[in-house]
Amino acid sequence: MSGRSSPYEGLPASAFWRSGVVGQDPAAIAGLYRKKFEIARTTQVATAGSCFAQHIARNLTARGFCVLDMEPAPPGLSEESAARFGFGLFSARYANIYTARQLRQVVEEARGRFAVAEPIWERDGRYFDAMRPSVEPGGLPTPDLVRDHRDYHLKRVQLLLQKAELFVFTLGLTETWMHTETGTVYPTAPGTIAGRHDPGVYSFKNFTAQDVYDDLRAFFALAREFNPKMRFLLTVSPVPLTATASGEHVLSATVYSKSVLRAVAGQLYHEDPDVDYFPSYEIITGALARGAYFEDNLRSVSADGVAAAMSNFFAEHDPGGTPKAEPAVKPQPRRARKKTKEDIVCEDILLEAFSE
Amino acid sequence: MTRICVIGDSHVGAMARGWKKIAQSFPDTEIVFFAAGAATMAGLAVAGDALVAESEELRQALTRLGRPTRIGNDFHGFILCSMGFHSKSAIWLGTTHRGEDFAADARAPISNACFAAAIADAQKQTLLHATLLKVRRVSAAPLLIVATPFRSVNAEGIGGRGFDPPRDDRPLAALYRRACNSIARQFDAEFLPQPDETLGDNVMTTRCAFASEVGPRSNPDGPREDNVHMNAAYGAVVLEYALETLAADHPGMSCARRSSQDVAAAALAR
Repeated sequence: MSGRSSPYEGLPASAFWRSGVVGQDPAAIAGLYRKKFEIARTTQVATAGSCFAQHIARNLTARGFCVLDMEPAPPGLSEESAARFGFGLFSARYANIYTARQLRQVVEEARGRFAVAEPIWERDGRYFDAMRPSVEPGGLPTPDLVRDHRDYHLKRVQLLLQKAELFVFTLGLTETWMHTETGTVYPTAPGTIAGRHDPGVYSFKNFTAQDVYDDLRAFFALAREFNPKMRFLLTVSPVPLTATASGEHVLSATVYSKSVLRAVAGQLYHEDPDVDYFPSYEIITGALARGAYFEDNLRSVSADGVAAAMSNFFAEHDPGGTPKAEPAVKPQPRRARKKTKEDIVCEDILLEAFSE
Repeated sequence: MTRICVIGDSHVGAMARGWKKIAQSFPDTEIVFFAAGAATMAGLAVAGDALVAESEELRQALTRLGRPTRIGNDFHGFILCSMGFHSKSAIWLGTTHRGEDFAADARAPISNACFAAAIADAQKQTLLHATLLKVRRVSAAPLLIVATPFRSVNAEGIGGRGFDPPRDDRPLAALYRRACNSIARQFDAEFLPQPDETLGDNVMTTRCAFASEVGPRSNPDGPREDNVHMNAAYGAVVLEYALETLAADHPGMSCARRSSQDVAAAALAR
């Protein structure tokens, strides 16, 4: 008679810390991520979320995946300027969406079921969209123009949701600032970029796991109203909080935020066959990285960190593929170009002028 | 004597022709035109304290045109003309995006700051911008930027060549000027807007009277209208404006227009 067998016997190497983590290559951690569904190059992908989501969008585009951009940068604008004005970062010009509640809000608003409280903030006589105050860093001259810009943006978000087959969302934070009376949440604290912090109007909110779960479930349902076959890919941003208003130490507050987000993403992954979870958070912050994937400020993710995360991702979704390394915003044709018939005519014009 | 160097492409032709008409009113000014076809001008390079025709193609073109092949740093001022620095990017942008003062329609709304940044970024990709960098490496002299003239509007121009200036011409022109000014400032230069008297009713166009004709050398079938290049009258207006601007902004430069009496007196004195 054989001895008592342990339930851990026969499990794959990935189930054990020593074989699954120690000595693994962070850019290719065996068994860490197994895709739940295919992402084809023809799959129309929408992206949103906090800063880290920008890396995912950029890398998908570089690999030739179809990342939607419903508010493309104005022609001529350089990549640097485009980013300054909120273009080319996500699939619409909604800027960073840090919380699940904010994502839910923008989709409800696009659906006509939500009205933002205090939607326009002012600073030095200029007016800002409270839901994305960073996209026009100098603001606009009138509140009407802010409304006009927002109406256009919401129409583009509607179109995005109609087209998207996969929505990639990077969860960033649980902390937010809320319009106390109505529950409207904002991406930045009033008074930071514009507006004025009035404790009688705005209050701090730190979402619970239940809040985040409910908001994401509501978002899934809303998005499926636009496209019933929509699938979702969740990630958790590894970027720590810049600051906390929770009263906790910022390190504890960060771990609380990320733990809540990670737990909810995991729960939804297990509950819904059309929700996948990609562990970029684990790759960047895990012990295997030994902190090397953060810049000196211990906050920004290094290029190596992004590369390691994306390498794990593409090992499943694009094995053998290589990035085309194409810039997000194509530069205008310039300078040294081939001599054309037009150039010859131009020189003739000069010949005539100088020979008269 | 104030020595001015005009560097540019085929649009310098109108200025050279115009200069012949007005030179006598500027007896204290000498203008050296350094120009070739736009693609060829990319062969201009910095060599020590001068700009030289580095490419064989540019050397040959300048020789054919009877132009010098070297620009020293002894000029009192520079005028950089055209070389891709035109309003086309602004006009294209105006078909897809609208600034703050534009008509509210289906175009994507953006701030004036964003609109001007897009125009400026496009202008930074031009040969004129590259040439600005080169000139500033050899000289800190006063420098004017003269853009490619707006297209002259005529029947062929609007329908035949796909040129369709948007109806928001005035706010668009203001943003275009703002963008060009921002580039000029980066080089301690000045952007010279197209003189008002040359503009059409749509201020992103040039009056037909200033349109050039493509001469028989380029067009064996005979002259035809050219709504891209302008004529000697246009060149004279622009050069006058440029020289007066330089004289006004730099009192040490003796390039101001002189009256016919002054010119006659100076001639007699010589």
